Amino acid sequence: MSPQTLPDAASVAAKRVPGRARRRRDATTGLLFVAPMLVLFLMFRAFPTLGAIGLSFTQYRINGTWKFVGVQNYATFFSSEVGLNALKTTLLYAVIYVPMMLVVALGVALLLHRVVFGSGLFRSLMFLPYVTSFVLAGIIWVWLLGPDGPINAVLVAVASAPIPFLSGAQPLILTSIAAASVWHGYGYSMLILLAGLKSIPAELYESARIDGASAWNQFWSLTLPLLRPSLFFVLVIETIAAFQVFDTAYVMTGGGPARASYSLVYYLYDSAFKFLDFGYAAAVGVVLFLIVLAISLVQRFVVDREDA
Amino acid sequence: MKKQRLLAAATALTLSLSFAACSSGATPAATGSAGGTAAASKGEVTVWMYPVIADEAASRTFWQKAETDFEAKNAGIDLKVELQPWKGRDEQVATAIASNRGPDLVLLTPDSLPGFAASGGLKSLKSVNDPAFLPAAVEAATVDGEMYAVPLYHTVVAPTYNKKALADKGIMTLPTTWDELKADAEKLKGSNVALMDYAGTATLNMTFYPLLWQAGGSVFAEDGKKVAFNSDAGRQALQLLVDLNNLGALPKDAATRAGAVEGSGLTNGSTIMSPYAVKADAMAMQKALGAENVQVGPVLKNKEQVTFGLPGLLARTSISEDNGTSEKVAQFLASKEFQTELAKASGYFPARSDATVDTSNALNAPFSEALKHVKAGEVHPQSRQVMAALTPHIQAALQGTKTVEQALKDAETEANGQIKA
Repeated sequence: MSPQTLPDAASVAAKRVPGRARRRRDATTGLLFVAPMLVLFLMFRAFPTLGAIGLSFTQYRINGTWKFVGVQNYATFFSSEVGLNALKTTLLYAVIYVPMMLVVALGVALLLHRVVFGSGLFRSLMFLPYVTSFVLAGIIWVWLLGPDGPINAVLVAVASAPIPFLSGAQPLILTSIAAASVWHGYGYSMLILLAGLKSIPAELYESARIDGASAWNQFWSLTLPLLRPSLFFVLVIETIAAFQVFDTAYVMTGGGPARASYSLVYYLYDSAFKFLDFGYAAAVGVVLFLIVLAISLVQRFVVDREDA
Repeated sequence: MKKQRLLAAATALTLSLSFAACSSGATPAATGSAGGTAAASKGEVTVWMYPVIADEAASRTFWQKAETDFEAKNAGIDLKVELQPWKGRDEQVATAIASNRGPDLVLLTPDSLPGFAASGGLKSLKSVNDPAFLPAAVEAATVDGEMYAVPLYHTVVAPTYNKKALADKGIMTLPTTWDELKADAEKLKGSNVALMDYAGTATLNMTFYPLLWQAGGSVFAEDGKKVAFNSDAGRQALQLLVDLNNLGALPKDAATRAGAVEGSGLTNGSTIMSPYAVKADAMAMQKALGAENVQVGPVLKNKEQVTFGLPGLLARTSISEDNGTSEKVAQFLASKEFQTELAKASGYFPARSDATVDTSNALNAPFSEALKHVKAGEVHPQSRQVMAALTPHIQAALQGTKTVEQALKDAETEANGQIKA
């Protein structure tokens, strides 16, 4: 038995070189693969965001002249009753919309997960609202929820009292708008959750059933924990969507009545394209960006901690 | 200058992309005869026109003929009329001007023009003013003594009634004053039929301001430094709406209605009168109810007899070159002959006193009559901000969450804050 000797440092380094070169080559290949998306991201997301941040410190006139005003636009926003109310309205909307969306998307995904025959057809049907023009859908929702619409006609027949879905108290109006938004947008989140459900190994459910776990226990202790990454993704994108609510309110209520559905993006839109105050609108956009970023980071922190 | 242009382009890109990132809706696309939207070179004038002529094919043919006719009379100037959709017009025009890539001339509304003028987006068209232009239209095109646009056509709103529904309730004569209107509302109380339409989210130019003007009031003080609607006239106008609402004389969704005629109570018989019908609305009512059942009434009067009408303003943008070509195009499109043709093709009215009104449509006579009492809004750089400040408070008064006095006081405070800002 010959004594084994440890390899000297030089020979180790010699062996490592090809590995390092390969890794570098792999990294370059990877970068090339993502380059088109990276370019698009930089061009259409990162640069406009940086531009908006720069613009938010100016008073910008439409003919291209501008003046540096420091943080004046931000100070104006945080002292603006209308702006802060729009922020509060957006927060309230998010509180209503996000859970509603998660419940609906998850519910439909769970149902579709159980469908064996014609699942592709059902999946397409459920996804259909997502590809429908919201302007068109919004007009139909206004009719459905209107004082003389079919929903109120049924309510009057059953309970003899119509509900002012789009002209009552603010929570009711925002819930009505959220319902229309959820109907329009749940298809996307549903597909993500469905993909998450499909990735859970069936053996785990078999084991759970053998161990006597009820359907609820399987859902609570197996499905939900294993679906956490998909749920987190849906939670983040739907929170962002909630903070960007605009077209639904624009079509269904015009931001009213009495600004009950006047969201932050609606305020941004008015500031930029109605009042031509681009610097101020950019400041509102930056505030929105920071809020969404902060919420996303908090959500990530909470989910990561629970995962640990 | 180059640096400034680069900044402008970057800003426009930032604005458009940022907003596109925020919203999920599609951005409007140009549908014009010409492909490019680059700033005009010398001898080339680009006009952004909108569906003033509702039929797309007829519109295309009409504007192509306009290009040919103009170029035949003005050798060396290439006129390009690009047809754009109404949807997203404000953001489209704002982005185009900010990026220095867009039209030399663009069709604007009186409430958007002052904002564009105040922010440096427009150039003067005073040199093509014509004494035959309707005074209301010239007033709408003028900001701080400078005329930034020429009127191409004029719309006008007039009270239009479902005559049969009114007669069914025993009302045989159309109201001419507020008192008569209120008396009719009393007669209809409890009938589940609304006497008057009101669209709480539509422009106040059509809904609340005419009532304010009829009461003898105005939106802005004469010096333009503050608002003037929190006055006796303002209180009377808003009180009228609240009283009508309490009598059940307005639609149940008056605070949030957007104002479309099709599919509304005006076409299914549950609302009798539109106080702000344009000719197309009257025609839609005729189609739904039968021409014999629809009648255009006189402009309502309280202290004053006044209604709203919208001139189509062809404004010269800051992109246009100072070589006289844009002025020539504006002069041609605002001429007596052209406006007569446009009025016939579009169904609107000429914005000149010397142009001929088409008499082939029976509705033209009563609407022409209403045109005598027209006011094209109140021109002010902050007119849109003030309207945005006032609208929610009117909605609150209609919902009963604010008194008339409180609503106008709150709106005044907010609107004056906007003017100072």
